[in-house]
Amino acid sequence: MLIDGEGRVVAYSIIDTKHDRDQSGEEVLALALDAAGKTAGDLALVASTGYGRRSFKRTQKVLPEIVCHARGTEHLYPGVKTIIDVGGQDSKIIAVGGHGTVEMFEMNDRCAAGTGRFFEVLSRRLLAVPLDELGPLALKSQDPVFLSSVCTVFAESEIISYLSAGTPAEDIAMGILESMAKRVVSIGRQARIDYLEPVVLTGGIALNVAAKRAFEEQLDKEVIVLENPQMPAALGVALLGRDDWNEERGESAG
Amino acid sequence: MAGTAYEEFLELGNFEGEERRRMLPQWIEAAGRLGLTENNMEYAVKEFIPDMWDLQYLGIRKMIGAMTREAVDHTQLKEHRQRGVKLVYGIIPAILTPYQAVKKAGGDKVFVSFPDMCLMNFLQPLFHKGAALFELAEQSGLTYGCRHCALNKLRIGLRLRDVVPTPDIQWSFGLVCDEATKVDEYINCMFDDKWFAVITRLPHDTCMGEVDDEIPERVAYLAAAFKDAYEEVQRVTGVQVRDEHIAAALDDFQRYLGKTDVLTRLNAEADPQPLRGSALVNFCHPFSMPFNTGIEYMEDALDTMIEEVKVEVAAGRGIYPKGAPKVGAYFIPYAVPWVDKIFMENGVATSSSLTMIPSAKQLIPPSGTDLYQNVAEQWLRMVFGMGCHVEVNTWIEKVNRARPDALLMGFFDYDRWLGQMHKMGAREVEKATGVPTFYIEADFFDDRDYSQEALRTRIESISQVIKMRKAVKDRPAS
Amino acid sequence: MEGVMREFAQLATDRPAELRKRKADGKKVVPYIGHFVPEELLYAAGVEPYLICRGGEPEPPEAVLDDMLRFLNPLARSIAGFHVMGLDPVMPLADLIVASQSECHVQRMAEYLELMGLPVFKVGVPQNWDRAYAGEYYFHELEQLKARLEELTGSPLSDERVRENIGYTNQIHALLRRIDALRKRESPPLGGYDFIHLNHYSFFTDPRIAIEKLTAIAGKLEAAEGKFAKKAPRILLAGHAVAVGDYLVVKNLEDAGAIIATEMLDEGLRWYRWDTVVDGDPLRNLWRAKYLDKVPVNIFQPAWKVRFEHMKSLIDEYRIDGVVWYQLAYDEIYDMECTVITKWLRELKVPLLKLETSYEYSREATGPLNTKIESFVESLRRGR
Repeated sequence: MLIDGEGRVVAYSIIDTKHDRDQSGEEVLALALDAAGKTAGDLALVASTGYGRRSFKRTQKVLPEIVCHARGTEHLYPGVKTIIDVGGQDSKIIAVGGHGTVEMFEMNDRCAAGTGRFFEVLSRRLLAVPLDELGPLALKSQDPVFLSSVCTVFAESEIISYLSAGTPAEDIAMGILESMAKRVVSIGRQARIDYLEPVVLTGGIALNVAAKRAFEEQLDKEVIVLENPQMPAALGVALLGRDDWNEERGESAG
Repeated sequence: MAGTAYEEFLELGNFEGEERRRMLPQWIEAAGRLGLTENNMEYAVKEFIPDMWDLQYLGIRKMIGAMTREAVDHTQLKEHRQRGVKLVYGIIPAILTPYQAVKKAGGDKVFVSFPDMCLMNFLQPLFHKGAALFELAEQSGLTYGCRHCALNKLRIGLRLRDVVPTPDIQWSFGLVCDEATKVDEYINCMFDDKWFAVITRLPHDTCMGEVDDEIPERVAYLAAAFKDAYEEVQRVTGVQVRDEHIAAALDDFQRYLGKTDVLTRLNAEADPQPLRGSALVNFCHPFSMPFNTGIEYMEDALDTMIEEVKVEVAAGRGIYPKGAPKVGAYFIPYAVPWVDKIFMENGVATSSSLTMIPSAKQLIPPSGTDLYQNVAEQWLRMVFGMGCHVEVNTWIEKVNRARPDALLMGFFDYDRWLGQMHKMGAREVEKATGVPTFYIEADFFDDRDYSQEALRTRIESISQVIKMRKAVKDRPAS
Repeated sequence: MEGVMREFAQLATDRPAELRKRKADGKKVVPYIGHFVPEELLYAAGVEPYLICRGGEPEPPEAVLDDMLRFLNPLARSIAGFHVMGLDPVMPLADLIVASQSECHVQRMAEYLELMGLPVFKVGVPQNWDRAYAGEYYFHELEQLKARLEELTGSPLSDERVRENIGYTNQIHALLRRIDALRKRESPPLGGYDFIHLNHYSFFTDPRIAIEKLTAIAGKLEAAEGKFAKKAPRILLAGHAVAVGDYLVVKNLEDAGAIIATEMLDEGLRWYRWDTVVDGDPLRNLWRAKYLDKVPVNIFQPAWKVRFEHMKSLIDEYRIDGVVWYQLAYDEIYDMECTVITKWLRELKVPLLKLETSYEYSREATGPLNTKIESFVESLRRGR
């Protein structure tokens, strides 16, 4: 994510993180610089977040992703009160205060059932449908299946039973989404996060058009999906990096 | 149409004639309060209950009826309160007889029960509908799944749904179970500051080689402990419990215990076996929880069942094939009766319960002059969830008596109090008796977190091994 | 200061070897579990005490799964597990193991130790502490313990010796309070990581030497510069225990830029805020100090409201920005208390982070843990 001094997005790029996180950082930065017509020499500050944040050697500032997420989402959707982020590896629920500060947060524990991985493993592998087609498929569901297991491993055998019984793929796809949404929402409830509105859904799962419906059913509230739902954390670290950079120079954050 | 499935259910519970007519509107109302829909009712009467319970026996139907009466009574708690009835709740583990004595002394002026135990044993084994209440508790902030006992989650869920109103007094024994009594504090702190509990506990300190009921100071301590709480219960309810009430409760307990011993022996020794293990355990409820509607209905069901089993045994009939291997278990997971069913489908009979078979010592009534000490001694003799070592010795006694072909342990994962003993105890029992033991990591109240498919595979595998071993054991010596 | 700390640490590390020598010289070695076992009685009896409270590693809790329930807290499983793996240098030397029995996890673990043939003596601790008969039970247990120690050593246990050792403990407590008070500074000279280590070292050192070391350390710390950034977020670390060896979370919290300004833990730290009366019947005084005259431990009942009042006073006194609740996996009562505290802290608008450990940190990726810790610290910093 490249931003200017006013906090405007100049360029944005995204790739799958590879084994070599430093290399991945260089690659995604190069893509963004290229799109902006800039070079590394034009950068005032490099800040990073996410699990690989310290592995990126070029970084000058490291910030944990939850605060970045809150800041970035608030910038994209001012006034947001609750963020539900479902990524590949983890899920987070963030109660947002004024100016994108974090009031409370909770993350899933070691269990994968509340993450995008759950959905990806079960849907793509068992239903053999490409990831980008799963959302439209799930939306066709009239009678989603109920998955009793919160564990990915056990849910898999439940799904196999449904498949054997001839249950339509769309009902299984939606059932998996609902199970995942239920699990994610319960994580926040255990931390007594009230899901105040506006509620914004971010992370890879938000690209799935049926995910919004699944969360809205769980919460009985409207859930907003951003145009670029995977952007907030990167935008947030850029904005916070800029804020700190300005503060260190005694200038107002603007 | 609305009455049909509900009425069919009452028929299953042996409600007839005028009683059924009177009960029907109450039952429809009660089912609604418990969150049971008409679909749930249809499924239960047409599929689930016939599949899981041997309805050909009048004893089973009467047992279902007795549990139904008790459940319906529980859904009318608010009405009871409006009539000025004092509500006294308890939880397991607890010494049962003091509660029964309060009921004997107070009659209709007092409602005495363990609501969570009653409704768990109703909703799960007959309808498989406990999950919604577990989830309600989890939504209130309790961590999901294996972190907490499902019985306690049900208790919280029932309170949150206001099925069970605030009692006049919650008397929680706890004994050596930690979570049970702390749930009272949880309810009080989280959402009901009028939830008033008096707690009776027993320290966790029986050493190896010690036998709880043979330590006079321990018996005296427990007697003093429950007497202390008892005074509070009597003060709040205005009920004066006299010695004759306690004596009557003790007599009821011993009498009922003797009868369950007859039934479990008959069944365990029969070949083919006429009854499933789940049924046995359900008949044993009156010595783990008080029945506000009285134990008469359950006792009548038990008497009927005993006679029916005798007839079956005499005729050489059973619900399992002749020669079917028998597996004992710690409880027999009665709240998840499909465990029994899967064993049955694999030709193995669930036959005996280590908790529900009385030991030889238990069958001898305490004979001291102090009734409170007698009550304490009777409980400590049960050796239920107390010191591991002395309890395991009673397991050995019971296994030697019932001689199952195998012993199934586990299903207590979410219970830090009872669950821990299983692995240690299983090894000791196997060493002492030669009966092979198997362990299944699962929970017998809450089945949400393990796959039924995985469970089926485990039980099938265990059944195969049991049958192979039995075949070897039964082979005539050459 | 580092020199004294290193010496202190070395003494603690050398304790098992010292116990082997003392045993060879005819002394009785008595490891103990839980703070309801008064170490003062053990020292007074002339035995060699050793607190068993070790955790922080993933293998020991797993090592006992053939016989212990998976869903028991990892500290209880660790205590048994280190012994099963042959990594506990002290349990095999034990002439007696004294285990306070206050809750299910430690009860079942003690039974397992008995099954392994270890000589366990149990001190029952009734949880309904507001009942007189319950309190008297615990007092009776202490009397039994005293009698058992006299039987073990063959010598009577004098009140004078007990009072003497109570005096030592009180001095250690006073020194810890003195050191702890330094954490009220804007930039303290030590944080929770060091303070917890000092507690741990003091458990494995002769009390008189512990007093000497703590006195030296206190003096040096009082004169030392602060080692934390100005405006570093101030944390109250609360929960069950920070066991010996379980330092990853406290370290990472302070590496992330926070100060652990104070703690509210039931195990692993001395109950240094409360002293024991010296004059009079020392056994009765120990009983009072441990059972009645302190904030109750989590399992006691009723407890949570009183504990929360204590937490609030610590929040005020130490100017706490946020609370980290550190609990052991499957510790069901602490988990319930956390739910209650989450509600109450929210009403007070004090941020809370809940961390649960199975001691799996060295095996699984610590990414999620550090994300939680760093995010919490960062959110406190930006919220200040």
